[in-house]
Amino acid sequence: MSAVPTRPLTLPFFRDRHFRDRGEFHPAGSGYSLLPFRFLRSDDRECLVNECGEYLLVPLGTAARIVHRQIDCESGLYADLCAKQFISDGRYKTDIDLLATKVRSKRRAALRPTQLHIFVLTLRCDHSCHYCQVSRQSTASHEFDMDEQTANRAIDVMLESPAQHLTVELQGGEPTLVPQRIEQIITAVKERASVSGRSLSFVVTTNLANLTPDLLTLFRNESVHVSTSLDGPAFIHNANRPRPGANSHDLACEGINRCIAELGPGSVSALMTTTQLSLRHPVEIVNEYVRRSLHTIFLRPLSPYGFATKTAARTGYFGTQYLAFFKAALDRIIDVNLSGYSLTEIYSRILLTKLLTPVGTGYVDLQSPAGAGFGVLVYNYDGDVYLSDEGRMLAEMGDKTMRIGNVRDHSRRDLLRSSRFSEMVEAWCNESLPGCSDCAFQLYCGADPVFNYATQGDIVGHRPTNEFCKRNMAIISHLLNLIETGGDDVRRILWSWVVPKAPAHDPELVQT
Amino acid sequence: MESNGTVVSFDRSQFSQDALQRAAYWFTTDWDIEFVPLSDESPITNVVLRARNDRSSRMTGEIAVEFRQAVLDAQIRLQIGRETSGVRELILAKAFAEAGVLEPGEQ
Repeated sequence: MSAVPTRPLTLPFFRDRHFRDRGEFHPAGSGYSLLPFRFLRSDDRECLVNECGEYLLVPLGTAARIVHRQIDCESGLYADLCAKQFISDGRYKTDIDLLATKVRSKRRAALRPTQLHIFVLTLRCDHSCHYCQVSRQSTASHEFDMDEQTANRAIDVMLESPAQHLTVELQGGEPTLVPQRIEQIITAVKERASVSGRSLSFVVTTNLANLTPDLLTLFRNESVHVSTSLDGPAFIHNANRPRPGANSHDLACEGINRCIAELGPGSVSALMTTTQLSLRHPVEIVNEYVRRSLHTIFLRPLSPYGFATKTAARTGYFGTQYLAFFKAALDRIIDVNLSGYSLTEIYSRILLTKLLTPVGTGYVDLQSPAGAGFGVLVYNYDGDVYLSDEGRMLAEMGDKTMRIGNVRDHSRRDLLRSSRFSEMVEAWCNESLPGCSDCAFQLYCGADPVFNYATQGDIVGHRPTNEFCKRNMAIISHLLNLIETGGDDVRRILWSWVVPKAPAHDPELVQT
Repeated sequence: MESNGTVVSFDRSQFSQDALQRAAYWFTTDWDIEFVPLSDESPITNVVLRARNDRSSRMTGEIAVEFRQAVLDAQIRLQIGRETSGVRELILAKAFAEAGVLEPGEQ
């Protein structure tokens, strides 16, 4: 017996219904209204971006034609502009409601109360990295360790944040030089956060050179994520990150292997810092990550803080050189993915999430309002609190401009109501910064007043010469170009970074 | 007004001072920029661009076209902003009012 009804539906409801004439769906002439959008001109096209970050790549002159009501209402472009809410063809209330919903989704991550709390357990370190942002101290200088009382006060301040999820990042110097402090903080935070039912993530940022069995057991039991540095093959890593014995690469790789074996494949992630030496070897660096069974890589540029400023002649480079390196490394990463090995570039993933999805990200270094102070707080070994890790690095260089208080003297409320914090808020939102306020990439980018202050002398900065601006403009443009012209396989890989499926090591995954 | 430099003329009835300044901002790395109204009665503003370095010195032939396009773009952006500022504020107010970021009583 057939499951499909053979007798047509004859109820009056269906018999009397019909579509309206086509003409009723298009307004006469060009009677559309503008909705908010920004645009950017390149050599051969314009990029239009609406208020919730959806974009269209269109021919040159399109923005002007839109404004002058020269878009043919029968054209595909008109349909695209309506569908993505660059213009409204009369359904104004619906468009506003939809845009408000999309804006809320896009900006929600940036509006959460402080989630990321960085504890600097010590300035001591056994490495002498040329680009060290911390300006570390020798391993014998215990006066640069965070004591138990300071740690407890910092936890007090952290728990005043109303955030429902807290990420506790333990770093240094080298935090594994003070294992008792790691255990104390994790134990205390777990116990006290459980009272309010908040969820927790723990991250330890370490060079892995002092990884003891006890620490690995602690990391396994508390689901700690390990973040480490791997600058590339040994000749690059050892040159960038010297230590007594010249074996920092061996120790890092051994530590990565131990973490993968004992904590699981996704328990450890690595990033690299690009130096002059790195610039010449993008392919070798990517290959090293594959060799070490890592599935994420962060192509991080040099930051203008700490030792990096003193060793600029040896480690530094121009922004254009970094961008050439980034593109070459990204090409290699895509090739690796095309060969069947899953490797995600983290900074690209952050930007692609903003470009391709309705949501934002919680990455504090690329947010508006700026993550500094709002998305992250940093508790130094001596109890001083900074708006960001970069702000603390400035302090180690002798400039405490970004210090907002001390955990011994101030509550979270005191810190966020301090005059210093109020000054930073002036340059916190790229919507109100010169250059940024008109930029089409505004929603994909962010504000970094600390970077502006460190590199250009004031928290607002000068956009035409600002390296943060130039770098992000170039990378976003490059990613857009890859999406549009890279082909189906490249697009599939880029999408997989944003919407991951099963991990690459899943044996049930079959590449066809 | 010094006699050297590239002069680009704009009719103030077509291009606002705001547009000229926003466009000029992006050229300040390589160019010294001077705004010179012809007179109180004339609607024309001359913008004088003087190269600041070797790179810009090689571009004196194209700078007028490039700057004029930048001003045109800036003017279009201002027009979009004028037409959409009200609805933008409404969208943002609606978005944040329903985002749960305001304390009760502030909504």
